Parts: sequence; C-alpha cells; structure tokens
Amino acid sequence: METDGDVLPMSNAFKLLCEDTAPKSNKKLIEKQRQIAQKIKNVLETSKNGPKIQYKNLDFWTEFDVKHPLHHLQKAVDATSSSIPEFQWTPPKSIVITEKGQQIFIEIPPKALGNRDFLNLTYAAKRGHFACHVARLLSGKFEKVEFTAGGAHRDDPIFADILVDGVRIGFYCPELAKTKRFAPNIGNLRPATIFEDLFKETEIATPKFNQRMLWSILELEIAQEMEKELKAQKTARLAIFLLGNFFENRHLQHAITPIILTARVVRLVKNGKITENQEILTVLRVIFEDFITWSADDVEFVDSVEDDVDVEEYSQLFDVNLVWKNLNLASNLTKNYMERMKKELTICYPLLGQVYAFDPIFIEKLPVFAHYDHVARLHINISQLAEHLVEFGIDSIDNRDVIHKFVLSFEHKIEQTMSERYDFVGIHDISSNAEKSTWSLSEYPEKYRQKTYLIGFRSTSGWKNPLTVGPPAQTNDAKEFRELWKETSELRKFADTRICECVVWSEKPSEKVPRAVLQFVLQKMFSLPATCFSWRALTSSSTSAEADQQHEKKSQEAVFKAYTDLSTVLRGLKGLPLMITNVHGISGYLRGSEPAYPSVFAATSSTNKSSEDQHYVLPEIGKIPLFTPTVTVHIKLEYSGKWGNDVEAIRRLTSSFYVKIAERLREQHKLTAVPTIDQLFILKSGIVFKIVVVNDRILTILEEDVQKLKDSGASRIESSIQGMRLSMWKKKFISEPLLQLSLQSFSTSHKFFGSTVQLFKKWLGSKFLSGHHLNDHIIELLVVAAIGKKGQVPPQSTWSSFCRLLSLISTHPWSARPLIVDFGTKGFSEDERSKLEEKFIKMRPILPPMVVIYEEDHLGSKFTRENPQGIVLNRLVAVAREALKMMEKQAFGEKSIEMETSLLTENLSPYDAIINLEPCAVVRKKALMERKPPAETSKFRQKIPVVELDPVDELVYQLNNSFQQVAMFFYNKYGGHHIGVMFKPQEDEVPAKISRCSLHKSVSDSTLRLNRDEILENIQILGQGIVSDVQLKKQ
Amino acid sequence: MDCCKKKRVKKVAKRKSEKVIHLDPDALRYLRFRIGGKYMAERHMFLKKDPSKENSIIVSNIPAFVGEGVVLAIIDQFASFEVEESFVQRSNTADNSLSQGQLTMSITFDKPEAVIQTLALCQDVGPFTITDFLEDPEFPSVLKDSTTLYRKLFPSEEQIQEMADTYVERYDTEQTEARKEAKRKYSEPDEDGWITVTKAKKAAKSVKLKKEDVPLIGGLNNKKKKVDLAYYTFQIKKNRQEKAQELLKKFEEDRKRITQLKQARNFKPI
Repeated sequence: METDGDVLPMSNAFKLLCEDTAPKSNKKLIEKQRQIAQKIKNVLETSKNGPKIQYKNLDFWTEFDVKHPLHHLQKAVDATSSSIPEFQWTPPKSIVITEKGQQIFIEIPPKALGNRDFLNLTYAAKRGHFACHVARLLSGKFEKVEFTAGGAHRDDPIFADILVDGVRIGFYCPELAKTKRFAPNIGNLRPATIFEDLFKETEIATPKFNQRMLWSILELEIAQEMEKELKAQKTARLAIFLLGNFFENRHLQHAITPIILTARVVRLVKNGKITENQEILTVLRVIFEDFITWSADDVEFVDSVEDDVDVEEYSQLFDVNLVWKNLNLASNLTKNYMERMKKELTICYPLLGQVYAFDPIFIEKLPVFAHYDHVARLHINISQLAEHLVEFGIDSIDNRDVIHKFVLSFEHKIEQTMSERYDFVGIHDISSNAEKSTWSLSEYPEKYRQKTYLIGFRSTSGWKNPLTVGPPAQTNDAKEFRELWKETSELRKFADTRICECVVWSEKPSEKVPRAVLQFVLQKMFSLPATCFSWRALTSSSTSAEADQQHEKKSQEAVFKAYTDLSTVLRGLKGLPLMITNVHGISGYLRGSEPAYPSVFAATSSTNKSSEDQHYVLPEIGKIPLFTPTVTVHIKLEYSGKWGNDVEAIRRLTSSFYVKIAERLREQHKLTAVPTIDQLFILKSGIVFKIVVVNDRILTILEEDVQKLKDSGASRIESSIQGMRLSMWKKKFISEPLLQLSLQSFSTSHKFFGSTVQLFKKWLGSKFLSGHHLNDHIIELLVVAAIGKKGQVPPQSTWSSFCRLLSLISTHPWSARPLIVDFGTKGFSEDERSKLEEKFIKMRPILPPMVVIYEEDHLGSKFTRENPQGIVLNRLVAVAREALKMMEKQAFGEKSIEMETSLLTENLSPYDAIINLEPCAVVRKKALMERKPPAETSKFRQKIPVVELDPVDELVYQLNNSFQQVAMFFYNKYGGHHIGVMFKPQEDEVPAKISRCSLHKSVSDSTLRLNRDEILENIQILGQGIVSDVQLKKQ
Repeated sequence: MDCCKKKRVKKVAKRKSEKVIHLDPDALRYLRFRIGGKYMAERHMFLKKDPSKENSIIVSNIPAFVGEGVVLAIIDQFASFEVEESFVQRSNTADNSLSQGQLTMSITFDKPEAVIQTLALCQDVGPFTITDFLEDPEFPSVLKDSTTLYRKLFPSEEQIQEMADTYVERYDTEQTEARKEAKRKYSEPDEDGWITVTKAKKAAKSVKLKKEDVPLIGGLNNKKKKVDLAYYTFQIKKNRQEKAQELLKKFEEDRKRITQLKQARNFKPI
C-alpha cells in the first residue's frame, strides 16, 4: 500500500522504545519452570499402569476429587461408540518440553484409541480421561494444579489442558487419523449424539468441530515448527509481542489470538519477507502491511500451498482462511473483525517510527466502549434459543457453542440488514464469567447457560438513514431482499426513475431507525424478546432528548446563517471612510460549542420604559434581566496611514466609526445597531452580534513602546506595564482569533465536535468546575486532543468522543508531560515535539499544573497560567475517572440508566458551605419555553436587549476577588442553583500577624481562627438579590 | 473613596484610669464589632502600632462597605483624640480594588498617648454595631454594581461622537504644537545661542569599482582560496572522532528522552 509522504527512517529512539517495552526475561522464573516441567516428566514416566475403566464412565474420577471436563456431557458420551471401549492409563512414551519450559506436550498412546474414535466425542472423552489421570498423579506433588481451556485459541474447555504452577500440559495424538479426514465439508460430529433425537440427518458438515480435532492432532508439530522458525528471529519475536499489545489494547485479542499472529509472522519468515538482519521498524511495517492486505476472500497458507486442500470448500465454510496442514487457524475470525482490525492497523501504519506515537499505538488502552460510536447490550439465555436449536445445534457440543453460533448468525444478519450504516461492528463477551478460563480439578467448567455481549458500532453518515434501500424490483436480488424483510418491504420509486425494494422506518433521519432495524432482526428473525437487548449509548431514546439535539442544531445553524448574512452586509457597506475588508467570527456559538442556554436568540423585553428613540434596553438597577448571548465578531478595515500614534486617539476614532456603521446599517438595511465606545451591537435575525474593530496600528504602537523600553536598558520587560499591555493585546486579538480559526475549521470537519464540547461544558458545570477554573479555549483544546489523537480510529459520535476525552483527562501524566494538541492539518514534526518536551521538562518548576501546547502556544501556558490550580486539576482527574466508571457501568451493567441525567447530576457533599441562589438569578439554564426569532414581517423594530449579563458569573468573580485568600468557589454555569464554598485548610488557624488577619478573628494572643460567619455574612451582603441563603455545614 | 454618610452617636466610655497594661509593641490587638440588622456575626478588626511611623496605628480587616469614617467614629468612642491623618493602605482583593474586600488603613494621631490608649482599651469595649453609625445603611451588592455598570456602557451616539471629536481635536492640537516646537528648534537659537543643524542632501555617491570588473586590479599575487579538505592524517582522525562524538551524544539524548517517556508512562495523576 502507499503511505502518506515519505517513509520515516528508523531512529535510535524508536528502537530503544521497542526494546525497552519487551518483557524482561526472568532467568530464575525460566529455570524454575524448567525444573517443574522436568519433575512433571519424571513423575509421569515413572508412573504405573492405571486401572482399566470404561471410557464412558465419566464419574470414575469423582472419588479422587477430580471432575472430568466432559462430565456435563454424559449423555453425549453415552451415545458414542468405540472399537476399544476400555481406557487404561499407560506411561506416555513421548513427552516433549519446550525450550523455556513453559509447556509440555504429552502424546496419547495410539493403543488407547480405536480406528474411528475421531468421530463424535469419543476421542474427547478419552483425552479427558488421560488428562484426569495426569491431574491425579500431579495433584499431590505440586502446589497448584488446575484445568485450563485448551485448543488453538486457548478457549476450548472441551479439550482442556492442565496448568501446573504456570506450566501448561497439552495432550495430542498425531496418529488419530489423517488430516484430510477433517476437511471442512466432512461431518465428524453427529448432532443426534448431542441433542438426542432432534436431528435425523447423519452426515452434516462440521467444520468447526473438525478444526478442534485437527488442533489436537497437529498441536506439537505446529508448536515445534513455529519455535524453530522464530528461534533465530529475535526481532520478529519482539514485533509479535508489540502487536499482541496492539490487539489487546484495542480489545481484539479474542479475535486475533496469539496463534494467528504468530502464524502470520511465521508465514512472512518462510516467504523471506522477514529476515534476521532487519530492524524492528522494518519488521513491524512488513507485518502491518501483511495484515492490512490480508483479504478475507482468499484462502491463504502459512506454508506452501497444500494441494490436498479444496480451496473452494474452505472459502464457503469459513469467513477467513489461514490454512496450515489442513487446519484453518483463522476459523474463529469473521469479516467484521477483519474490517475493524484493518481499520485500526491502517490508521497506525503511517505513524510507525514516530517516537511520540509509540505509546498511543502500543501502550495506551481505551475502554472497550470508547472504540464505538453506539453501544448496546445483548443478554442471551440458552432457553431463548430453543426454537433455533436445529440451526445452531449443528457442529455444537454444548451451550457455549450454541450461543456462539447464534452470535455468528446474529452478526451475519446485522451485516445483511444494516451494513451501510456502520464502518465496523464489534461483539465483545462481557459476561461475568468471561475471564474464567481455568478452574479447579474438583469443579466443572462453566455451563454457559447465559451470556452477555457488548455490541458496538462505528457509525457512518448513513447511520440515521430512514430508508433501507434494496435492489431494483423484479430481480433475483429483490426476491432475496423480500425474503429477508418479509412484509415490511415495499416498492418505492426514486427520483432517477428507479423502482427499488425499500423498507421505510421513519419519515426523517433519526436515532430510532437503527434501533428499529435491530429490534426487527432480534424479534422477527430470532424470535427473541425485546428485553434481551438494550441500547447503552449516551443519548437516551426519549423524545425530549432528541428534541434537545434538534434544538441545539437549529440554534447553531441559525447563528451561522445570521453571521453569514451579516458578513455580506458589512463587507458591502457603502459611504464609510474606510471599507470593511475582513469579518471573522470568533464565538463558540458559530461552531456549536457553547450550549444555547437559555437560547441563542435575543430575549424580548416586556417592559418598554425606555424612550422610543433608543435602540436598546437598559436594566433596572437591582433587577435581573433575561439573558441574551452575543456572538463576537472581529472586523478589519482597509489600510490607512492616518490613525496617528496614540492608542486612546485610535480608540476614540474607532468609536466614531462604530457610530457611522450603525447609521448605515439602520438606513440601508433596517437593522437595529447600537454603538458603544469599544464595540458595536447589531441585531440580525434575532441574534445579537458584538462587532469589534481590530486595528493593527495599535499593535505597532505597543511594539514601539516596548522597543523604546528595551532601548533604554530596562530589564524584565515582560512584567512592565508596556510589556503586559502588548502581551494582553496579542493574546486577545492575535492568538485567540487564530485559535478560534483552527477550532472553527476542526468543527467543520468533525460534525460532532460542537456537541461534545457542549456535553463537556455541561458535565464540568455539574461537577461545579465551571467558569474560571477551566478556560473555554482549554475546554475546546482538550476535546480536539481527544478526538484527533493519533494512533486510534477517530470517533464519529459524541459518545465515543466524550469517552476518550474522559480517558485522556484521567490518564494523561499532567505533571510529567505536556499535552500537545494537533489539529491534524499541519502537525508538529518529531524534532519539534522533542524540543517542546525538552523545554517543558526544563521549565516545569515555573509552569502551571496543566500545560497545553498547540500551534500558537509552544509554551503551553497561555490559557492555563492562573487556572486550573493543582488541587482543581486533581479534582478534575478524579471526577473524570469516576465518570468513566459510570459509563462502564452503563455499558456493562444489567440495568440501563439515564446516562445523561446521571452524568450531569450535581453533588453538594464535598463543600464546606453551600450558597443557594435565587431562581431568577440563574439566567443561563435550559429554557422551558423555546425562544423564537421575530417574524420578518414585524412592523416594530426590535430593540437590543440586555446582553451578556449573568449575575451568577458576576457574583462568582467578585467572590473570588474578595475571598481568594481563604476560600475557593465552585459552581455550575449552566443552570446550577448553588455555589460550593471550600475553605482553604491552611487558613483555619494562622499566627497572629497583621498580614494574616483578614477574615479571621482572635482566639488567643498568638493565634487567629478563620471567621466563617463573617465570610458567609459578607457573601450575603455581596449577593443581595442573587443569593437566597447561605448554609454552613457542621465541621 | 466615597464614604458612607456619617451619623455620630455620642456615647460615654467609662475610662478605667487605674488599669495598667504593658503592651508588647508588636502585639496584635482586636476590636469586636458587627454589622447590624440581620447581620449579627461577631467580627474582629485588628489594631497594631505602626513601627514605621510615629503616633500611628494600623487597622485591618475592615469590610470595604463599612468605610473610613465609621472606623474613625468607632475609635472616637473610647479614644477621643484628634486624628492628624488617615488613609486606606490596601485591600486583600485580587485586583487590589479599594471598594471590595477587606481593607487595611492607617491612622495618625497628634499625641502619642492616643496610640497607647487606643490599643489598651480596644479589646475591652464593644462590640460596636456598624449600622448605629450610619444614617442610611445601604450596602453595595454585585447585582446593583453590575446593572449600574452596564448602564454606563451605553452612552448615546451624540455623546460618543462628541467625546471622539473632543479627544481627536485635542490630540491634533498637541500634535500641531509638537510639530511647531520641533520646527522652531531648527530656525531659532536656544538659550545658549545654538541652532540645531540637520543633515543636508548628500552629494551623489561615487561609483565604486568591483574587483571582478577590472582585471588584475589586485595584481598577480592573489592568495589561493583555502580548500576545505582533510589533507593530513590527524585531520581525518579528528573528523572521524567528531562524528563519533556527535553520534554518541545523539544516542545519549535519545536514551534520556526515552527514559523520560517511560517515567511519564508510569506516572499516575493522583
């Protein structure tokens, strides 16, 4: 495949990273395992012949406190037959120990097996007896002996292995039968032996069972060949380890199991694509390319092509084929897993070799639900599948297999019915017993009567499509489509005169459409009750939640349209001394990142006391007006050399300019426009815009002032008045607009960005971390960092974005590394990142707790210099972690909770005092009645209402200003009715000094105590009209 | 700052002349008071002798809405001495605003015994009620301040234009005067009788000939350009060593960087 740009060469740093990640070889542990293995071998070789028993007698071992792995399948074993019905333990002649002593392979003597024991469960039963005898021999001599799931993927309890102090014992029999006897289309397991008389057919293909049997024949041979091929390939072994981490961190390890991964690498070694002398980066690239180009349509061979393998046969019976000596190692894979694996690898392939992408690729791990845009929970009980046992009972041995067959069928149906709606789907076993792959000798393996799965979708733009469009009518495909959808399918004519089969789910795009499709699949196709399936995504299915989303979307669209219209108007204004050349909106409302609380539209004032000549409304002193936001817009004028050299003069001239613009807007466009000294307010389509002229001449003057200061030999220019003025101006009119531009571009390319930021802001508010604790720009930068993080498949929904955001906040090492935000257009190169990190480490003692670096701020403290404080950052990390746990509970838990409500629940318990606010003072909360823009045909010109006046914001600012020495204040900007007060512990008692006595009272000659009553009284005085009462908690 | 309106209530303080108090010069004394009305929490002002100024005391933890006059009136209740000077020193607010937060003020008396008596008696009197000293007790609030400030943001268009015209006119006048003053410097002698001399137009520059344009201008004895080649053995060795050193340095930097990344990986935020 072609890569983007040049291929990054191998660097020493990357090599060090890879080698340091490799597991350290513990020589003592290896030696201990070797000794254990050798001891096991001695015990078995010196054992005596066991008693003769009937192989159907699975209860024989009970008296020795050992349970046969097939004990729960007694009926199935009774239905088998063998030419040698007796079983007798004889010391094995062949016991092979791997080089590192981690595994022992014991050959079952061929004498114990009849000629046709490979049929049904005969061999499995005898193998079980063999394992039970070994377990009995070893249980008194070793500390810990237990059964463990066997098979190629270590997930098969029927063909159980034994685990002895970390050493695995496997049992194989290469002479059981020839490998071609286990071709996929041959039936070696009669369903009647498992499910009694349910089936009449005797020859049904059992491809899965055949693979399980094949592994027991070929296990040692394959293991030895793999070990031989990889013995000299140190680099390849390291690559296998790294890729194992890769798949595990993305929750793909149950699909891409170590045996598959190792087989693919062995295949590359055999083909000469991986050699001993290659660097780790080259080997990784080769392996990545191999997996990415792995086509599910081809039957591939680990070794050379095997002529006795019927390729067509394998292709029909398995989704994915990776054949080695007739054994399909990839028989457990499905196309969906392949799609997701390829997606993940393709994202990471161009990043190989980058030092700072190593951790996201190979080390960091997200929760499983964070990989998907929509998640659901499926709980299956075996009794619910009774009607489909004819279908799922074929090629199944126990309940686990039946449920597994159902899941595969369900996955296939999902692909048939809604493949156009998602990129990939993942089905993950989240049952409480999912991790129990080992069990005690005296216990049975899990019976698996019920299973729970998490089903995740990565959605596409067609996720909410109200139609499922089928093939054209009167074709064979149309018949299949109608058979699939039954009576719900109908014919529909499209604009291009096509007549197609179509299923109509809704009249407009909606989140409910994919839910309806899946409910159809479960109920109509599998006869399952609706209660076994529940969606666990962030957005609830209630009508009000969807209405909220529509409201926010319409608000943003209205703002953007009004802004576009206003830009055209401003650029086209005539009669001004200088033309307006540039209009740049820098408000969060334009990209939907600011919640429309209560509304983006202007409030209508019922009182009309002001004179008719005025175009604006003023608040009454001491009364709280309705809240109206403003959309800030920066404009630039055409160049002029006549501004002069005085900042104040420019300011005055600009205010005069505002007056002239307002006059023109009123005369030419009938808009309500109100000029002030420093800005101009315009009412357009019911939305208030705040226009600010940005004059580059001011920058020049300020820079000249600083230069004069430098020329005069002054030191510490940054802290001088001139230096501070220049830096503040640059921050407000250069840095912030540039950042806003990047954010605007990012939100355009990521449609869910705005909704994620809104959710984050509301969530921060519910945790009382609104306002000054986290700058609005930092909030948006954090979301950009979470969405645009390299090494992960990017999210496509608010749910997954928010999950990753919480994960980023709670796992990023804020003290040790900066957060480098990359907008994706032109990122930092490796060298640049290296320098940034190095500079961070040098300056760490004087940097703030949170450091966020982006293109316009290489120091990373422009917006975090004062806030958040360390204690607030710690709290943010803690509540983020707590929220992740809540989301995990939502995804995995038995009962579905109202996710948004739970996430946004306030908790008042941590605070020392609670300030209760008057309801009328909380002006920025969700409106009960939706505001609407005024009708265009209105005869009366609307006045500009009171704008940007939030009494709670003002109060919190003043509280921090007055009491920041002794207390911290926390509140929810978006509808919170309380302010939390936290007194600083170090201020409880202070020495009696004049410099420490503010807000304290004397308790002795040498000690002052914090006067909490005084503080709360002052709060009430400051908050008259806003604060209803203040409650001090008991100490 | 604007003080609240004063209302003097005459109270007769009982003087205990027999009391003998030995004051530590650095001791911090307190004065109990409360606001009044529904605000009845006991508060403490703190008084201390000002060591940097004679006959002065420092009073701290004064609510900004109380005002300077009320503090003076309170002290006058038990120490009726003439005040020479009083002013607010600072505030504990983040923006150093004297209209918010808790204030610290300085009071200077005419006589030194005023300081002694004030510090001696302040802890035994009171608690005083602030509203007793105010004719119309009305405290500022955030809501009133913000709504009042909002109203000031909207002058009329005529006012905006007038302010702009006035300032620009004055600015133009100043600029004109500055220009005239500069011009006068060059045409009239100053106090010492000197006239500033400015640069006149320079004559045309003479054309400089370049070496390349005139052959043999430097003669035939041009030095050969030094060829940057490692000609000697020690130079070859030196170059090789330098490259090796650079490589080692880079390796060390890489190792250091990877170590830092690994340490950050193990770091837990809490």
